[in-house]
Amino acid sequence: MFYAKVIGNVVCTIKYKGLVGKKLQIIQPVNLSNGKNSGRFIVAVDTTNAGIGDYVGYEDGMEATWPFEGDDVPSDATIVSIIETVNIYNKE
Amino acid sequence: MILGQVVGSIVSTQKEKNLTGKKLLIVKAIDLDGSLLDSFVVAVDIVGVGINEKVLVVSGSSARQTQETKDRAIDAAIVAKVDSYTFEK
Repeated sequence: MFYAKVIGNVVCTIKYKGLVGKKLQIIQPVNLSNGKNSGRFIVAVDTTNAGIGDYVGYEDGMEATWPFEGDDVPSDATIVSIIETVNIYNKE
Repeated sequence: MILGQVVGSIVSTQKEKNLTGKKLLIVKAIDLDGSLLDSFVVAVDIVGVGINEKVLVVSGSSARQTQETKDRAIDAAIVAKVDSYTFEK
């Protein structure tokens, strides 16, 4: 699972049937140790109802399709949790 | 998924049998302000989009998670046509 911030959302009317009814969010991956943005933004399917400004955990790659079990949902990034706090011990 | 814009198409007659009938489009990644970035992919169109339209591209094995692309030699698929998006930096 990776850490990101929700920065926006996407509206699509024409989409593959497996994506109908799924919320699409724009997320910016964030480096957990320094809080800085890491890499480019991505568009992710949201299973949690996160809002803009929330920090979330997401899966990428094939794992991103697992929350939908047997359904054909072509997603390579899926938000699976909303993160409230992060504790890091032994931070150097 | 990455946000992209369709900038061209590809015609190929000699290809893997399971790619027959699939529309291949060149999609360039775009930034949130709409400007084209350098990176591009050739993606199979499964929703029916046109040139210059903004689209969402799924890559990797997740691209084969549809009826149209299952068990085919495909690693990038256009799965949605973007109408609009909002963002806060």
